[in-house]
Amino acid sequence: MDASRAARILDLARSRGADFAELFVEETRFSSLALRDRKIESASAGTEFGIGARMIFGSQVLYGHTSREDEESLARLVEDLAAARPRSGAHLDLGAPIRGKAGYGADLAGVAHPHDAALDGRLDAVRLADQTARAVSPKVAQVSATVLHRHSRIAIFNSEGLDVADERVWSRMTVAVVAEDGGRRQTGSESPGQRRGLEFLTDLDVRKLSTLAADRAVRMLSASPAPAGEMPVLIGNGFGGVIFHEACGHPLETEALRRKATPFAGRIGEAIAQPCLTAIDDGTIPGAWGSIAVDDEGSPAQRTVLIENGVLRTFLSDRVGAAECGVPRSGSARRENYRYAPVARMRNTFIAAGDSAVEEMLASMGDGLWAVRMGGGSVNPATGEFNFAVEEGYLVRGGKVTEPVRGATLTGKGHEILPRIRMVGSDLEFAPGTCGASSGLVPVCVGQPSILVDPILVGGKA
Amino acid sequence: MTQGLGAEEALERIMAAAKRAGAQACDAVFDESESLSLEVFESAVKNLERSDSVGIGLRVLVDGRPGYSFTERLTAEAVDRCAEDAVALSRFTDPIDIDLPGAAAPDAEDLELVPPGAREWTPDAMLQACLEAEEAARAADRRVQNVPHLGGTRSKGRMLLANSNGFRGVRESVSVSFGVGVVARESGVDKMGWDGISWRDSRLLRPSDMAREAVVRATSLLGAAPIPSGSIPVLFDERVSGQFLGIFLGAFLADSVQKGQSRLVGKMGERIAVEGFHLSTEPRLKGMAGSKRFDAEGIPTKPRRLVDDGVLRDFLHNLETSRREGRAPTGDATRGYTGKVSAGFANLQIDATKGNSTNELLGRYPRVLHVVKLEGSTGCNPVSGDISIGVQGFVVEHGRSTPVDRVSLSGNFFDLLMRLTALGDRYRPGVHSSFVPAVLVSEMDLAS
Repeated sequence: MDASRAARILDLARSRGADFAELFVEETRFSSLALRDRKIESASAGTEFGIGARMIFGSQVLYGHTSREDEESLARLVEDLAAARPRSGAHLDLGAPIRGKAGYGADLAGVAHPHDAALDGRLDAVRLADQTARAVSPKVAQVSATVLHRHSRIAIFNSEGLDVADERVWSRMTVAVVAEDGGRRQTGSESPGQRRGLEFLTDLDVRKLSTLAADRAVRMLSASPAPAGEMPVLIGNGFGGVIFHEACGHPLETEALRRKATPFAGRIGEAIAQPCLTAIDDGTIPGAWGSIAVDDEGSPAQRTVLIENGVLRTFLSDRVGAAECGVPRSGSARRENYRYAPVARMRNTFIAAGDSAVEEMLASMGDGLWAVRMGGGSVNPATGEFNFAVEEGYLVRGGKVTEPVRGATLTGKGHEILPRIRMVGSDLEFAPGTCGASSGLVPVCVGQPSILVDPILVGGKA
Repeated sequence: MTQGLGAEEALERIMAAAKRAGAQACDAVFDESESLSLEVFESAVKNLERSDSVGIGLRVLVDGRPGYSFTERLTAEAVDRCAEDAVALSRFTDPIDIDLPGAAAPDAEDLELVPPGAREWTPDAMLQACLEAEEAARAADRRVQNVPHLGGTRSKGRMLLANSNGFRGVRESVSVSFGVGVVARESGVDKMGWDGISWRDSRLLRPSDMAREAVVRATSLLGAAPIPSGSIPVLFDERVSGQFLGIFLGAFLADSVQKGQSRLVGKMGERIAVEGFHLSTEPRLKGMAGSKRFDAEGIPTKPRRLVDDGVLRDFLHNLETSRREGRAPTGDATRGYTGKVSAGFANLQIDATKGNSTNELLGRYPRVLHVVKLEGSTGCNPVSGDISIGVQGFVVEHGRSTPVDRVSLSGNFFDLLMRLTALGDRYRPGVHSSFVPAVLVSEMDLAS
């Protein structure tokens, strides 16, 4: 869409009484190649296309979208939204304008055309993943391997004169293994991803990740049920950061704060964790899955220190959230696509490295659980209650690692668990994930070094 | 200018382009939907969203090799390119053996997905419903601290399916939904209660009653305390039983079974659940979310029992999986325009048992855990059947009910089917696609 058409639509929105108006134009090309059961099961390509219009009247946010880009359809969208608006709500000072003309998106090497699957290594990668996993053990019963590629072009225009464009590329490979033994079945999976083109595949050690997934599935076949009760737990690095993401990250978004639905409301400047804990949300890490050059309302990405040596410093905010809650903007406005209004979301969120070694933490914990690899989980931000699955776990007895256990979950409340993070390791790692919230699914990294939490409730076999 | 093609026009064009590019057969699905939703916080409209979505998805077969593509841009050029992409991609895939159906015999059954006489729910009426609900919630109990989630949505959708053998089908539906989430506080502890429902007609919504129900659900959990770990009989309320069992029902997909990703491999004809347990797919229920006359490949639907009196009798099939077993198509295929063909329950039903009220079921054991809320399903593995899940609810001992906190349950889904001692007498209300009564299980491991 050209800037002059955008300006006419934005003027129309202002003339209908909006204090602020914004257009988000997106065209995204997807392609995927999937292998399962030793066969290439699907090859697909797709185009997502649409325009989202946001209008702010006082503290009301109106949002609508359409896949039709002609001026008449856009004008009708704006008129319909303005007409549907119930008259209520107070004035909100949106603060400093977001202005400027800029082109972002330097990460365009290796952008794939979906037809090039044979040429760019995708076929080889999924076949290698399959062969490697099957070679690990005769107990490997099934292997799925998928390569996904997403290439997005966006433009944002607002009524304050903003005109920015960005190109964003993501690539990801997933290997999922099922192992079987005497009717019992267990799974293991790995799914690395980066903000890069398909050259990502050439640097990827497919053999290693496929072996990791297969090993885990096979190992968990012989795992016994996890114990139950409160105990010290050493949570592994990398994807272990999902607990911080869910139980502390979401409650630190202004989407929670503006609904007064977070236990951290009003606690900026207070100690909410031990001094060994510093947590950061960083959108600027080159190539990282959750990085952004510019956020989805046109602010450049930032690095935001959330908790510094145990003290709460700030929240993650979008423009409306920052204005409503009186916190600084953090360049965190994100959305899955044009269907969603942008709100504050995490980017790459992690607990900063400390100085403890894994051996030292194991030795200090006595009897407990080593949750080497976490599965997913969920949290209720309003109450802080969370629940996470341990995908790969081991019992620790007298500081020594013993047998594998399955079926453990970690349960608690984020703000109560934070001060129980007693030791922080030096082995910081990141892991990509997909985070779901009110503005849809966005790519994020979680991350942490190994951390010792004492105690935390483990759900398992009583 | 680029107004975009209409549904029928886009379908005919994409299939013609696929044929030109070399596809011998193809099918295409067109989806369009419109919705309007409104959210209120502290008596003011926070968000008003209007969604207008459209997309077309294509599957081609070239020498039996499938290729998939989709586009939300519906210009003639974009649609043609989409068809060329699918054909080009088909050369990478392994062949499948399917025959697409021809034009369907007339099927005039009215599934009541668009009720006659329903008026469009206006934003002003939605706001009014929210304000009423918020007032009712705040007046219901002084411990109500916050109403962070409050809003309504109206939506309508149309799906068209066409294939190169002449099948043409259309499905239209409308719905409204309303939800309210309340936080209650006592002694510094917060508990959330939620009530939400969908109907086809906004006149059926009862916002104030729902708000009061959400308040009761929140306040009844206040004062919750941990209880000793151990094994305990568990009643999953009908509010959560469908969500809970639903985690594991991928085991009934023929595709998972054929590819070794289901624990039900080799169990056909065997007892997998207790007597009296009937599981079926019910595509012909009136007005329900999963109701449909034809599936995503154009096969007519019909109700089918997969588990009959505890014995495994059938799986869910699409054309590819049924052909692999040399049987007739069953009509369970599912597909969205962005994805590939899979299979699934239309409406899932586990038969209820007359006379089994919640109170009656709670009285069957001296001490029962009554689960009314799940804390997320990620500790449950649909392949292994392993269950590890945080729950909220009550311990009921001789009719006395005490809320419990920080409780998680573990076990295995496939064992649980054999330990299921009774089913409740009703399903949760509203328009949805999962009809599961309360489920009473003789024992599970509880950690607290």
